[in-house]
Amino acid sequence: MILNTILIALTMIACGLAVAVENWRWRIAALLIIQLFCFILIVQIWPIALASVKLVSGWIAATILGSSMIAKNHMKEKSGFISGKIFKLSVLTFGWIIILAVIQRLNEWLPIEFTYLFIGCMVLLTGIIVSSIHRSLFDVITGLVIFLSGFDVIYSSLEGSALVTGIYGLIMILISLLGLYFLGS
Amino acid sequence: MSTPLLWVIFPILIGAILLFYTKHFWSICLIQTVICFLLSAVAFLGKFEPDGNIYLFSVKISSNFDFLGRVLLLDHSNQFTVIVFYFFLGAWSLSSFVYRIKSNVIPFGIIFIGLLIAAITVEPFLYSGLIMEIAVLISILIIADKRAENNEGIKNYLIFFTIGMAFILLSGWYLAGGEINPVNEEQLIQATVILGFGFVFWLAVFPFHTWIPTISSLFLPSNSFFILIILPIAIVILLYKYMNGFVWLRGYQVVYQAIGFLGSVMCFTGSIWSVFQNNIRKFMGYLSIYSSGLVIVSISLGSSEGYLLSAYHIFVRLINFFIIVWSVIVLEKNIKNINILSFEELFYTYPLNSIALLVALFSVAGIPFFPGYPPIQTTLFLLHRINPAASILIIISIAVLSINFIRWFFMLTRKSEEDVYINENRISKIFFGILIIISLFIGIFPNTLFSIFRSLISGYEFLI
Repeated sequence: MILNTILIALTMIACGLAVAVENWRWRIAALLIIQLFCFILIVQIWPIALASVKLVSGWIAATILGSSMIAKNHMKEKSGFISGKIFKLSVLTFGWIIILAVIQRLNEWLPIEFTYLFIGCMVLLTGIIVSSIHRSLFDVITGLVIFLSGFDVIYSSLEGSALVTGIYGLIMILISLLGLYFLGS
Repeated sequence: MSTPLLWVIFPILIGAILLFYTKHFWSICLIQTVICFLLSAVAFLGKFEPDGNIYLFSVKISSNFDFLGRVLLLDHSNQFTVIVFYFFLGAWSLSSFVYRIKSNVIPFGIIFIGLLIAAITVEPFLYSGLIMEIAVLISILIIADKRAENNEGIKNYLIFFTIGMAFILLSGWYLAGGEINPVNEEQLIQATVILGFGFVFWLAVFPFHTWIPTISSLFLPSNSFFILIILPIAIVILLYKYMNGFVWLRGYQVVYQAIGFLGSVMCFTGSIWSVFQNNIRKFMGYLSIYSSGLVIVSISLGSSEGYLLSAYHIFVRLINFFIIVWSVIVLEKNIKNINILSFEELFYTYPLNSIALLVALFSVAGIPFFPGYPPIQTTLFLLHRINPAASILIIISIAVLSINFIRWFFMLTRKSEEDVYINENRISKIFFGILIIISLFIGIFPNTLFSIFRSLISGYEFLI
């Protein structure tokens, strides 16, 4: 119970980081942390070998995304306005409030443990916000990988197939490779 | 030897091998064309029996391919899909070869089609969403140009399909649950909503349609429209599979009402927006939304006639858009900075090309004696009985399109006082001449080829 509460709090911080930061390194770091938290959740219901597949594929995806930015030589830092960051965090907070409001109803639809559903929805929403608020392809791909990580937490609680895990991991890596293909050119 | 090995694994492997020889583009274009026509012909000549026995030239082969405990099952229900998909890809590749237009469809197209067939044939169906997502990722390599400054449409395409995949996966879990335990009214609503959202994202229903006009306007039609034509058809076939597989889903009236609403919205928005476009590619993009809407609306009839009509609409979509897209590709090759306003006198400079374009457009609008007329007329007749509001929306769409295409007709045939000369070469005359004859033949004698297309749906025994 305490672990789950800490996980929720830490995931909230990581999600805030993913949305608010402008520097791509920080966003990749946020992505890695989010995936680590998702892994900690999944490993409680799945065998460690299978849960590791998700962590490894997620981290591979993050690494590919990072290397695509290095390939494009995006070393220049972007700082961004503080008002922009406040706006993004406000959108995220508003999203969390909506999730909190509908989570009970959603739990009737998807009968899984509250922590999994809440963290899953939170991460999923973060991914959508990152994809939709930013215009660059890198941010869109990062957002999609975050979205997939969030959905993974929910879906893993419902379905425990090893092949689905494998294909899901493959999709995550393929999306990142697509980013590398376009960003690295 | 098994059917999935022949029509799924083998083409994907061939596509992967051809990737290493892209320097010899025209050779691999020809190889892909031959392989696609061969695969289509073999599927056509093969004897697919309803009991699962399949004979290729009197050799019995299996319809299953086991892969890590899952099965690709390509039986009589998918036979016609395979024929149509490979024939269409073959025709597209051949057209590229004839007009010497380099397209990413070669060799990615054969991998893409292989994956689409894998998504349709995989058992349990839970995996179809995942395989479809991989096919979409491959399709991005077909559509996009990595040197392009603006990849805006690609982002939306990727986002919407990924979100759609999540909904389809969840609905798969719901539907699988429904197979084990009886479902109550509330669960039915939940499954319908989740499945509905999945298909709304995948089929580009308003307001999630924005990627279609963006992609169609930014990228080469020879790349983008192959995907825009084929992908919605694969999704509709997946919908057939879902409806055929679950009695409680196809027996639930709300499903049909929702499909009818979505389809009519697609028809209406697609047709209205298409009229206001000057950019010919964007116009075709909106027209494809309208065409997908017609397929969906006919499914909403909820009867065997409705499913048959949807198969006929798919047939009309394939032939119409093939002609429209290749007409535009050839015109773009010959005329720089082409838009709809620059169509004047086209009838005198490119006569067969412009006639083919008009024939296909009239068919899209369902004007009598063109291929689109029989299915559109029957759909409206049946739809008006059960959903008058949807039928009125579609009638408005058709009226708007008809008026617009008649305006096009006058624009194309308008002649200035200056002398104009025919610029069309012999290849174009033969190419478009054949397409016009086929199109008019189907329009005047609809029973001949429409009856063949009945096979697309006849394998789904609970729908017919």
